[in-house]
Amino acid sequence: MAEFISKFPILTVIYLMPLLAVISLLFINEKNHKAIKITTLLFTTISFLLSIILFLSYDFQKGGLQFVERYNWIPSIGVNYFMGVNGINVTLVLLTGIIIVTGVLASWDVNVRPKEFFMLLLTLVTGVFGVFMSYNLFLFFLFYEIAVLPMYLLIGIWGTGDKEYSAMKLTLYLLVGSAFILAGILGLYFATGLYTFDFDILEKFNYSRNFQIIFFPILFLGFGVLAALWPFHTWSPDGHASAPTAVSMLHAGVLMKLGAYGCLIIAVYLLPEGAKFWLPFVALLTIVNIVYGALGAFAQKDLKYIVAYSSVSHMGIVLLGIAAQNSTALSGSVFQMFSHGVMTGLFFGLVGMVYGRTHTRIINDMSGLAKKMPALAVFFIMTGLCSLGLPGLSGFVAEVLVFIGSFKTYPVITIICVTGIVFTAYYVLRVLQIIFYGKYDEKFEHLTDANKIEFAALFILMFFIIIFGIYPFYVMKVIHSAVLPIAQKLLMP
Amino acid sequence: MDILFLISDELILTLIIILILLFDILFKNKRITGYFYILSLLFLLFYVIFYKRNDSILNNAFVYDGLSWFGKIILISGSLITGFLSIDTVKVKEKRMGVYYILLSSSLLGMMLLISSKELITLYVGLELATISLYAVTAIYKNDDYSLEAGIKYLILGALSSGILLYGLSLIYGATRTTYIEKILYYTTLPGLSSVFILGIILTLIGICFKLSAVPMHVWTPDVYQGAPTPITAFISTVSKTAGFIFLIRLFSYAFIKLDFIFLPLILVISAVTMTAGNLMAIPQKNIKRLLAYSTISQAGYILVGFAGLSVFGISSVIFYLLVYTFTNIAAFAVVTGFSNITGSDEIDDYSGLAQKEPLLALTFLLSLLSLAGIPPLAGFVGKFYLFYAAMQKDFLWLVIFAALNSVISLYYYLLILKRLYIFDPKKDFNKIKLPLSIKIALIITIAGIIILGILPTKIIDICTSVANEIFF
Repeated sequence: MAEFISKFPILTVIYLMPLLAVISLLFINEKNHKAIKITTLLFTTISFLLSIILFLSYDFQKGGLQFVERYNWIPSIGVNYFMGVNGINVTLVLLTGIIIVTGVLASWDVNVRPKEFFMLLLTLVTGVFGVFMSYNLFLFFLFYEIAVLPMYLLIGIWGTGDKEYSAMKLTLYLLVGSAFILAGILGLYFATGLYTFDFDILEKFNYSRNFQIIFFPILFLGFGVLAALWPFHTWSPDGHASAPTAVSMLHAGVLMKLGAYGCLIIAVYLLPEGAKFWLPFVALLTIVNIVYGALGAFAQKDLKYIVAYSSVSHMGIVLLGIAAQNSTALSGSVFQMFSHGVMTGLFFGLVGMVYGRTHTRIINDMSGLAKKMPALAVFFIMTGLCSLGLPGLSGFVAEVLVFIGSFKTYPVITIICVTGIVFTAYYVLRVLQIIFYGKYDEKFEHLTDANKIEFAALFILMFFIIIFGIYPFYVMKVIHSAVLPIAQKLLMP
Repeated sequence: MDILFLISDELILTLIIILILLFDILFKNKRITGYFYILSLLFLLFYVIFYKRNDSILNNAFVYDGLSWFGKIILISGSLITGFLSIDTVKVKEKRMGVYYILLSSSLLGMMLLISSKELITLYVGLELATISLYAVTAIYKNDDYSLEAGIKYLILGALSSGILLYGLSLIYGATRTTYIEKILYYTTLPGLSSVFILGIILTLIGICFKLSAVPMHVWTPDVYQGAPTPITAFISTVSKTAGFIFLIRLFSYAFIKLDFIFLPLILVISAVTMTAGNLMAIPQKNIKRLLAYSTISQAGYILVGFAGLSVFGISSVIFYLLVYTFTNIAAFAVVTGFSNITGSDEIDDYSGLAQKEPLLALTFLLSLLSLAGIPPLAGFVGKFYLFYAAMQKDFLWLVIFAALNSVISLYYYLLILKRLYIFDPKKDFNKIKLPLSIKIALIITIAGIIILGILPTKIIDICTSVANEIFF
């Protein structure tokens, strides 16, 4: 089995599946909604299953890059087709697989132009998969842009509220970020003078200190925009609130991780000197992220805005972990990427399902829903508990690791950040109490509980939250194998 | 090498012009002229591609090197697609149809001459042949005020810029006592620079800016683009611009290359100002042709970024982007041609809901606009990346960041169009006129170009690099 997998181009297959689905959808009549959805589900399920196999067959004892595929593409400027995964990548590929399958299940009731909807969604996922696998910076950037752009149309056509404004804001913010990334990548390329974009060669090069101090902020800010680093986060609440359910799930669940991943793997790993110089400032910014995000969620009345602000807060924890520069915090940070991805996917999925029934997202308009939809209520409560970091669920492990690690580096900042968790607990419990356990209102008489398809989506997501909460050791080992070289590089004088 | 063989491209094109003239007299059905134009250009295209020559005549006044070979391919492909766009849409009186194709071909002939010459007078003659034909064909809609206005404006401003250019060239001649580019290159290596020569260089640059529609000579662009028949607009914005850029390469990346410390800052400033001005002025536009006009101004700014490289990679990136740009921009104008053929309108608001009515048109527009904005995996992305690559090689970090941020501005107004195409519901009832087959062919060719150049650019980039190498060695 292992031998077969090592020869099989599993990475290419994983990211090509959504693309194949796009091509097959071209030939399906747009009136045949069922066929469209089943085709999409089929191809994404294959990707999902393969990403599980990939995760399990990754050899964390050996570590490093595995399942490498390497071919020349534009050799004259050093652009190669270079795919591979390390411990961080396999975790994030698995996350993408989980979110896309559940996202498709959660969009089962999209009946407005479904063909275009799924084609765009799948294109987006192709880009996300590609980013998490490519180890050539040109390829990385290419996939990165593919992952960002379909969002405009997805939010613009199928969104709600002030969708055109949010879509434009989101797209422009992210592309400003990618303008900086492009400049940064070219800078790295010419700094080595080796005429290659291959990551494994760029990584070994010692960049001069001045270069690192100039280019680290360029790259970190470029990716930081997508990771919702304060003060560049304002696209995120608007975008996530306006987007249709599956798109919010994907965006908050996976795309924001893509920004954090870029910060870690490209900015910090390639430019450790610059990182040591700048990361204390980043740590200061993450205080605002964590506390302000939690307070923002606290003040909102719209359920989707609450979740969106909580994402800003949780992404602050990821960035704090990166800023802390030691292996404990970095592992926690990567684990938080995964955990928050699944959790926020679950949150947005649930909000979408509740909204689809009650047609309102204002929390004060809902009350006592647990009576009519007990299953949804249970899932909602579990997610909420994970969000506030209850032991036994994956969120706890991640946050504890980040805070333990960052306490060593920045004790004061960490203490301030931990207060953010208190606010989180408060707003989560308040929401749960109002919408599920308030006084039951007769106008909700016609509401139904989750149907089978929704239940499947929720179940898959919840499964990973619980299993990684109870038994985090396997995934921790996988992540740790990839985080160690980064931490070592940061430790070097 | 045989002289006749060396200049056979130009001879064939001249023959084509004469035959179009004959066809025009002999046949009543004027569409035949159009078909003949397309078929003969197709033949010429393959002839050029397969018979690459490498020689020069008349003391290097006329050369056939890689640059002119590659340039001819771009020019002829652009003219060919313009032919597809013209057949079913250009509505002039039957007896003027022949004139239309003759003017188009003679303009092409002028440009082919322009890009193959390495001598100032020949360059200038080629340039004038190309532009004067365009003045006439711009005003071919005799009863349309806009078309006439466009023709007059183009003529007056074009003549002005030709004057500046010619003055610059004559100053260069005065300083160097030669019109041969090779000898000018030798002159620049000698010690001591006359200020007359430097003034000549600057005036020449400003004169060429007209052809590139770069600031400060860009003011004609929106009016001419709006008034001219749309296929002609496509032709001016791509083919004519390509010729202008190759002219720029011949002079500034070769003849004056030793003096780059003088003109390079100027080119960089022009580049930055041009892209910003084009992008900012495009935002409020309501007419699609005016919007695309400003967008092409900003594109000229991006292409000038490649000159910051000035090396082999600089030239290679510029000519690669010219190819990409030709396909991409013609695709946009093909959509405009097809749309105005169906609805008779050029207003952006009328494009609402096009995706649900004419998916092929909307898809082509989507691809071409995203490619212009430099979004992967389309051709424009590789092209822009390569341009920035060339500039970054000389450490122009500020210029690269500036240009990349400018792409974001351009994406803003492209997205405003895409919003109408895909997000809005159809507002106006579309007529039942179907898209003509010729337009569909043009759309499909350009889509194929945009995607193939984006995904498999390897071969073409290699060709560009070897072409650029040939210039210096």
